[in-house]
Amino acid sequence: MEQPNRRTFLIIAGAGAGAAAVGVAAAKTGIAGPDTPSADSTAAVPAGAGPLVAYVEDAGSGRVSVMTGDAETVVHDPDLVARLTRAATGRTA
Amino acid sequence: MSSHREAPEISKDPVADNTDVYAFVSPDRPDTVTLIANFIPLQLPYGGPNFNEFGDDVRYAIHVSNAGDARADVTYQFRFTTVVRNKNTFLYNIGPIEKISSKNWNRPQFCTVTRVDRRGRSTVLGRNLAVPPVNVGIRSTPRYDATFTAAATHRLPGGRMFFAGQRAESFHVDLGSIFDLGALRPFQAAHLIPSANAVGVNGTQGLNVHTIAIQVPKADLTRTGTVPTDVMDPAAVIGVYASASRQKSRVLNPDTGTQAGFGPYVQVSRLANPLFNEVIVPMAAKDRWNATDPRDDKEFARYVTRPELAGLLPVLYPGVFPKLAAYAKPRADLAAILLTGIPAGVVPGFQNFTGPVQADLLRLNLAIPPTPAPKVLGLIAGDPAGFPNGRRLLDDVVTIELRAVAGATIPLVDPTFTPDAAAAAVTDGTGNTNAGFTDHFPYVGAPAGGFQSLPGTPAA
Repeated sequence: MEQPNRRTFLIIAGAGAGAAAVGVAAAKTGIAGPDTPSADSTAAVPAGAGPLVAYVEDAGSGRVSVMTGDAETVVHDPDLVARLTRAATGRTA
Repeated sequence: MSSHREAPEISKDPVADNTDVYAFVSPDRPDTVTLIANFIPLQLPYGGPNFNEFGDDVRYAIHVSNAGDARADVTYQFRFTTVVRNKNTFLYNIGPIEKISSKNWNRPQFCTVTRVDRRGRSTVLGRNLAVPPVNVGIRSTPRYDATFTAAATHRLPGGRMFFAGQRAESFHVDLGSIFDLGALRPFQAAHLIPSANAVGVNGTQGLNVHTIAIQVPKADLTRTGTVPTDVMDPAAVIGVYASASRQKSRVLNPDTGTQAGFGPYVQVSRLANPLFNEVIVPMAAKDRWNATDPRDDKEFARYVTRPELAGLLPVLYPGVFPKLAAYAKPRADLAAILLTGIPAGVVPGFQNFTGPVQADLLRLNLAIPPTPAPKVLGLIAGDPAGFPNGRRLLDDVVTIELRAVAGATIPLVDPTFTPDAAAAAVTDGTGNTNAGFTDHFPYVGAPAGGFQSLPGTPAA
């Protein structure tokens, strides 16, 4: 399997406890995070996915806003939010 | 200022900062309306080598509401694309820009104009429309006005005209005095901290802005799709505002030094009536005001009906405004002028009422023809073709609004009130000292040139 490109180029901790924004330059993985993504997240990446920004304003809500192009999708996924917040603090998933 | 650097956040983002909005029945084509939105405040003409330009990452728009609910029924969107022709020079131009298509111009811009209706249906009216260079100087942009203005004026389908580019600032105001504790030089002997009366100084003299102007048939903007002829017909009135939006998320790329936007466009600047956000909305609410839509202005109405400036005038000018100081009622006159339009029955033979929805819109009654003898004080001077019936380039909106806030317009809605004598005289004492307006589209004067302009005079 190709080694994923998971350069994180923006991590913000702000807007209250637990806030995080994570960008993925070329989305080979589902999320930006630790060195080795889970097999599930890698396998789920659709072909041709472009760069995106994921923003978590309130980790406790379980909601993550995913922005790509001029679109925004808000997903309720507490597990994803948990992995993002762990990644933002440098801990493995 | 009208809306130059008027809120904390937008003051850090001049490319998206909407400074003034104008809407008037075109004097030379009275079957059309001209809508103008200026951006990028206080431009020094010699501000190179990276001169001012529109933002490729900003979505500029002029909106028209015609159904009485303050929602945009017609929106014109303007998107810009910048091209760098020669990547091996730091120069804006590598020789004289002798025409708008000159290859000597290293950084041309182009605009795409799109019309969006209330249902979100888009129609592209023009693509890759040439924007003129800034006025660099006599060597780089010789014979600026003759070379570039007509070349950058584009005819669009449906009888529309379009221009976007640098122009002279039309708005005039004594910035130096007004922001120094509300001083008005012609009356500063009466100020709480007095000094000798003096003539006003136009703080925007010699400065440029970037203008977006579009001229459209009246029927393109009305709810009925027809040309109104009855001044008292509610369908004759439109509400206008402009906005600038950026994508919700911005990511800086340290590898390239550039940035990229992600997500939907979020409004960062809006403007209709001059000075609304500037002197009515308190500082802590200004950024939010810029982000909201006019239809939600009800939450800001209390700042209109209890304007801070009306309370300051009697304090700053002791003994000059005793009747204003004693007036305790909500300012229904200002609410009508700024938030709903003036209903029928207030000014004989006039109305620009858009309904009860409180919204900051520049309201224009399209059935009122342009006048060959305009008065700079507009409606309060008996000229219904001027502000606050729309806004023309020549309208002295600072004086008009100063007098309105000072109480001159209270008798329109409250005949029991007699204004202070000063309410009819107060002014900042300025007039337009930049390039004169023209009698044809885009009407805004040519920009001051970098080489030709001289820096100001510092004094301490």
